[in-house]
Amino acid sequence: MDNVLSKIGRTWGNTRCVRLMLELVEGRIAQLALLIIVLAAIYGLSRIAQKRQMKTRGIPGLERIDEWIKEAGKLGRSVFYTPGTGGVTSSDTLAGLALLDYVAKHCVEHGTPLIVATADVNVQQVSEDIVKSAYTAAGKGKEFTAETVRYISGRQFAYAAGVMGILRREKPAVNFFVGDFSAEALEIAEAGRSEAIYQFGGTSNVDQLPYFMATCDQTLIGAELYTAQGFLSADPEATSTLVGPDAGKVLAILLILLGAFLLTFGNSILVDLLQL
Amino acid sequence: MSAKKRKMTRGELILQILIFSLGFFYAFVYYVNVSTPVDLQAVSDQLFAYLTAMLTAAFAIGIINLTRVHVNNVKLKRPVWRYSIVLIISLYGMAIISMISSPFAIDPTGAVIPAGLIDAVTPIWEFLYYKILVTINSSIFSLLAFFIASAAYRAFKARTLESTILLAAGLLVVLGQAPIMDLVWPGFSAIRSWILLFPNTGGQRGILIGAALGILAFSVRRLIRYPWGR
Amino acid sequence: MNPSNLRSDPRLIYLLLILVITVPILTHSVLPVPVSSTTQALYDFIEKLPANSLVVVSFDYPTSVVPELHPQAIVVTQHLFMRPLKVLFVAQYQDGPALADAVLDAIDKGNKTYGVDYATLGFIPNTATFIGMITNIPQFFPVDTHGNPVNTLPIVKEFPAGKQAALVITFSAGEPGLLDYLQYWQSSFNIPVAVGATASNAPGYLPFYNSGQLVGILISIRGAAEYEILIHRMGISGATSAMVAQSTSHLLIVVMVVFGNVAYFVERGRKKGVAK
Repeated sequence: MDNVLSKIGRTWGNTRCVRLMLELVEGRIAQLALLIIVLAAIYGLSRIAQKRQMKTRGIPGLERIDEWIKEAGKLGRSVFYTPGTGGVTSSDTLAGLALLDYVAKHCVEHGTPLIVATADVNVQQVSEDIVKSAYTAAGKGKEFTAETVRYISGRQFAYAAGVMGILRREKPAVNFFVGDFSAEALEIAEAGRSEAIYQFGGTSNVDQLPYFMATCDQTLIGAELYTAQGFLSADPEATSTLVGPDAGKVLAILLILLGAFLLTFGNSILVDLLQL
Repeated sequence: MSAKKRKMTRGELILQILIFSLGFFYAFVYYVNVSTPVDLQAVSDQLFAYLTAMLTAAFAIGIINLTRVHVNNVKLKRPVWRYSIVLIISLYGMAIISMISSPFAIDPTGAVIPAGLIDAVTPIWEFLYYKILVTINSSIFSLLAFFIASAAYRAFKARTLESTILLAAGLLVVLGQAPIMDLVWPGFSAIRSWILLFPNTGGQRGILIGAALGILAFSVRRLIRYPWGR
Repeated sequence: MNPSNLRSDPRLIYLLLILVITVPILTHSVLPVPVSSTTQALYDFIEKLPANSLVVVSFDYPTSVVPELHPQAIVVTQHLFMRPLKVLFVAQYQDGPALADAVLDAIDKGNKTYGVDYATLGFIPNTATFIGMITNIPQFFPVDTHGNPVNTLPIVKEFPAGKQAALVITFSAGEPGLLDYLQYWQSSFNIPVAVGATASNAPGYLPFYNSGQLVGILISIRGAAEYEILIHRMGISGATSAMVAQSTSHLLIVVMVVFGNVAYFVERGRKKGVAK
């Protein structure tokens, strides 16, 4: 087995004039194989879903975002949005910014004032670009001001204090807390709860999810954060991508069951294989 | 969200190719070690260092935005203008003091800045940092205790079977976490440990696996086609 | 006390909470604390480390979680200094170096000498440094926090690479923190890792302890109190004196939840009676 692995693991190649040494990193070979299999499964299932135009279950609350924003506009109150304390390299933040795009467009459409608060300078720039583009595309570029997208602080609790202050002073009707959050999640959600009509939360940080569940009317849990964009899109290709990750989940379940079964009878071959 | 996918412009296509190439490169380097003719791991580390530098350089823009918003508050005498003055003084004051004397001082050995000035500023920095910054940060964090209490009172209701199970598990964990309950019955601690080590672990792993797959699909979609032209 | 008033105006809950926390602290009440298995595991691991082993201590928390993690850092560092071990202090948070200095001021260093038995290398600014220090510390940390060239320090001459560490302890409040050490240090080089965690993060780290990737976990200020008992240095971090306050506040939450549920069922019964 070691001989076979060492032959797979290392490759000497000779191009015409340059020697190339490729070596699979030990401990990550099984990961790579699993990644390729999962990606293939996700792609395959997405294609099947697209061809058969499969319908998926809805995420409660996502369909009502437009309605909430319209109601806030009618009441003359604002909408508050924050993508959390993560940086642009955080997947949760990127998912939060994708939803900000949707919220910004609908706020502009209904004439509802939007306030965005950020905790990272790079996220602030991206958010400003997203919101400004939404205003500009609707021909309302002049309504966008420097106070629409505000950088609060890079420090977690300075940001929390700043956001709590905005929520208490501006009293927005609808609050969106979607992105990468840490311990400040409960503070800002609880501060917003007293004045807001609706609160919408979302993060994949399992430590903060219970707090959002307790304080928000709707919460995007874990994987739903990344599929929200697909749910809100009318594009069948985007909808089909919602189904893809389910293939990976099925594979994970099968591996877990197989591994548990084998380990129960004292066979650790699957564990050894996955540690390659 | 718009369902229309328009054709990418040439500039967007070039950027998309760059995005995909860099994404693929990082994934490739993570799994495959290429040492000859070029050490790709070193290249990727260096690229990441450049990225960190670029992201940090944007820090100045955040400071400018912060200053602009709060100076506007003062100019227009908005209701919170006094707090804006405090913020601006604190922001620039602490920055200057930290540059003179702190673990991040720009001249710790006193080659340019007079040693006397550094010695004079050090106790000010220590006071501002340990007695004010640490204390204020801890105070804001400690508000969490009050919010948890009010959220727990409001949210833990036995309305359905699932919420009753949640309520029971939550109460058992809280009781097990209270040291005084171990004097009443040691079983509370054991039950808390069991709940955290088994059902909690299983649930968290399930959410983590689902989130990881969602991140994978989301990231690959972005690498292949970024949503240009919002 | 009308339960619906408490839901909309929770100030009475806040007042009760202030009382049950401040009274025990002001009266200096102390409570014996049973030691949990995760704390005992870390203590036993450090006790069994061979003499002159290198331990890397990483300060990965901001000033906001000082009340939870700082006591842990104090007691564990004291234990490390009670044993014949070499300690390197690093930090993934900007606040880390100052907090490391504060911990060193709070403990009894015995006859340990800076540069020989311990050193503070400072802040790790990026992933390249984090990964690079595993194989070459002087290249990635040219000077320590006191401005001394790192390659002149005897401890770094003896241990020029992070992978020579017998243990890494990270006091982690989120990211960057434990997951980075698990990803780069533990999985690639099998360096044992332990963590001091906040109460909200600890449930997320328990799976790693279960799977053997962590050798021990200290959970919140209670972990520090348990550790004080193990090293027989009661009061060194102030953790044991907080245990009565922690107990009373937990019990208050339980009482409030039970009261809220009783009131909910009484109100529901009354509404059903009225409906009939």
